[in-house]
Formats: sequence, structure tokens, C-alpha cells
Amino acid sequence: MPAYPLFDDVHVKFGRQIASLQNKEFHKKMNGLIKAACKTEQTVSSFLTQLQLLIGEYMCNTDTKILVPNFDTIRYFLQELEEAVQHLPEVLVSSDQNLNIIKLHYRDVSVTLQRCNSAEYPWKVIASDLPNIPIFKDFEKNVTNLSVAKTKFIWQMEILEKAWKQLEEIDENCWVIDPLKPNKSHLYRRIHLSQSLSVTITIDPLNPIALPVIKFSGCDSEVKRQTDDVSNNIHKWDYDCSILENLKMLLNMYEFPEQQESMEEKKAIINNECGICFSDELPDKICNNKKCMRYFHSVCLSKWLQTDIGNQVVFNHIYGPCPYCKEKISCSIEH
Amino acid sequence: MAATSPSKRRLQKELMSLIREPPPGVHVDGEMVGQNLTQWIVYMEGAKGTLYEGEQFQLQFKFSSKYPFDSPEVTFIGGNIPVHPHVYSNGHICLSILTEDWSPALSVQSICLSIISMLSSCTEKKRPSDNTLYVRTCNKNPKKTKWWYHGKKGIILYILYILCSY
Repeated sequence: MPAYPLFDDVHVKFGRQIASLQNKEFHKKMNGLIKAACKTEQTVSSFLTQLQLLIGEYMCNTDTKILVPNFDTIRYFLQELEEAVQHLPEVLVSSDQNLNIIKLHYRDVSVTLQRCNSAEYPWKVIASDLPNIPIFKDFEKNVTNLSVAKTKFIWQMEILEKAWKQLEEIDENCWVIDPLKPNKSHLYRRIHLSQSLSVTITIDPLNPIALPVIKFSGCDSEVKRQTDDVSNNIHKWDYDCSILENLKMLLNMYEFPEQQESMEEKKAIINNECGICFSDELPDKICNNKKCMRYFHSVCLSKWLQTDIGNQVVFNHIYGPCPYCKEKISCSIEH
Repeated sequence: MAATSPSKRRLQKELMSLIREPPPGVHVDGEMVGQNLTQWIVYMEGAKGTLYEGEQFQLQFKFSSKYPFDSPEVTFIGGNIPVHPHVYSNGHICLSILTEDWSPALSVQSICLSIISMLSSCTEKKRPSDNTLYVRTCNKNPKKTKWWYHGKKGIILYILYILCSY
């Protein structure tokens, strides 16, 4: 009767704790065992018995220190984990195989922590969906165990909740062209206004209904028109309204333009690469010439205009020909 | 591939689009360029119905780290340099977009198209009239030449220019 399974191409692997067994002499002996097992068509169990004997003999005969896991540490850690799972059960806890990496989930946000050997900071953040803002820095600080980490995580989420709500409303009602897939870490939105104009707003997460930082990108005439609108309306900013409502008021808009459904129109807006460096990173400058309307990064345009012999510099603005249509174009000098 | 500088990133993008959608009669050795993005060899065929029909040419592009703010150095290389009133026998090309009319709006593709159209519009195959003198005295880099782009006077002016520079 043939032995099953066969011993052809058999591999023996050892866990990290007894990796010290992996020396030449031991290997030779083990390979001998495997060969013998192949020849004599042994059963797996009898092979394992022999292997066990060999390991035992080897461990007794050599001075090699075999690493035995520290059961105290493990017990302590399991206890910490158990407490953490019970504490704030709405926050889900998941882990990798070795229990070294722990992920905390709450709604659609997660923070990933790695266990460290440091007594002061036993948990290090290796990934986080939370925005990187000054007061949230040093998440690790004072996080002595996982339960504390959970509390801190919930606390930060609660602070941001209002800001996220404002941004969600913008995402639902505007055509956001940057970030393309907004997630919880993004505190800015670049909103499409027209073919030659977009506005980027950056909100203060701690005071989300306050006037955000507003920056227009596009061709000079449109930027000027909208900047004028904003300065005329800015005193009307209403702290009882949402950012979206206030933005409509600031920009004299009834509704924001809807997202284009057709792929081609979408592409025409989103895939506007900079006409100088050809990079996809959204450009912030558009040629005023309606027939040209090429997109540029101010940095690239300013660099090119500086190489032009006929350029003019007024304060920190530089004027010269558009690289495409040769019409006059200007931008602030950036380095 | 991790392209680092903006200049390399742009070249990478131009290479991809030239491989994907080359103008008729043009192709680039992508594998070779992939190894060194700053030096390209572009193969070009003389367009049908022109004096150069059936001929094969090789163009060499050299890009500095300032590209696209600085124009590339473009020369014909290899055994077959087109016989053309604006192409010297050492491969140098007298074409304004390669020096003073350069703009970052231009690209390898648009340079290739300009050169094809320059060749296609030729009515008589001949070398520039100052060819011998130029080839003997010019700098290895065509961008160092102060070109005059207007017809026959160019020859005289070029001579004056070398005389002055001695």
C-alpha cells in the first residue's frame, strides 16, 4: 500500500521562536530524515515522531539557546486587548496575525497602530484617516494602552464631525475637482465654477463654520470678478448657515454647476495638464485669451516668463507672452 | 518607474505619448530611451510624394536638465543626412523653433512634425550654400550657432559672424 501523502518535495519550516535551530548540522540531519522517509515510504506521523526526537536531541546536546516566548508579556497583552475590546464597543478592533498591528475602526474611519517596545509610547500610529492637524499631533503621547487609544480616537472623531458634515454637504452639491476622491483626511475642496475658474476652500477643522481660506484659480478676468464679489459680500457671512450656503452668497450664485456626466466634458476639465511641465497636478492659471485658455501652474509659467527677454516685472508680478498663443499673460513670481 | 525631476517627468510623458500615438512616419526606440531619458533617437521616414520619399533618417534629441525651459539639441545623425537647404552635412538643422523661437508649448512630437514639414516643402535637394564653411567652423552643439533664418542673406551674415568672432 503506497504511503500518502508522498514525501517528494517536502519542506520543513520553523517558527521564529526556534529559528536558532536553523544551522547546518541540524539541517543535514533533517535532510537525512526526509530522504529516509522518501525511500521507506513512511507515514507522516512516524516522520514527525522522528523529527521530534531529532529536535529534542539537538536541543539537549547543543548549547544553543532556544527562545521561549515570554508568557507573561503575552498574558499581559491579551488582558489589555480584552479590556480594549470591551471598552467603547462601537469602535471595532482588528488585528494582524501576530497581534502586533491593531486597527481601530469607527464608522468609515480607521487608525492603525503598531506595538512597540517603548515603555513610554507602546503604540505607534502607522496609518490614519484623520487629517494631519497640529492639535492632533503626537497621537502616541499618553496612549498607555489600547483603551486609551480608543478613547482618544473617538474624541478626535467627535471634534471633526462638524467639519466633515460641512464638507459632505459641499461634496453632495458641488463638482469637486480636487481631491478626486475626497476622504476624511482632506480638509480642502477645489470646486469647479466654470471652464476657466475654480475655487479652493480650506476649512478650519476646529471652527468649521468660520470663513474658510478661499483661493481662486483660473484666468485673470474671472478671478478678479469673483474676488471682487467676495470682498463685496464678505461682511454678510452668516455663522448660522452652512459653508455651502455662505459660499453661494459670497459668489453670488444660486446653485453650483453640476458635475458633467459625459466623460469627455469631465476629461476636459479634470485632465487639464499644465502646458509647461505636462503634469496632471491641477494647474491654477488659465490663459486669458478665450481661443487659447491653456492651463499652467503659476510656478511653471513664472519660470518660463523669466527666461523671456521681453518680460516686464511689476512688483511681484511678471508679464510676458503665453507660451502657446503669445498673447500677454501674467502671474505672480514664484520660486 | 520613479521619475524624479519635473523635466524627467515631462520627458517620460512625452515618450509614452510618442510611443502610443506617433505622427505618421515617425517612431522612437522606447527601450533605448527608457534607459536614458535625456538622449533620444527618433527614426523618421521621408513623406510620400515628396523629394525624400523612401528615405530613412535618424534624429538625435539631447535634453538638458532645464527642459522644457531650454530647447533640446536636435541633429540628424547616422549615414543618411537629408540633403536640404536648411540641413548641414554634419546634421545641424537651421530651424528657428530649435533656438530663439523655442517655447515649452513645443514638444518632441511637434518638433518632428516641423522637421517633416520642412523636408516636405523642399523643391530642390541641395545643401545650404555655406555648408563647407559652416561645417568646418561651427561648434559641435548647433544651439551655439547664431542663426539667421532669412533666406540667402544668411550666408553673408554667417560669414560676418564668424569673422567677428575671430
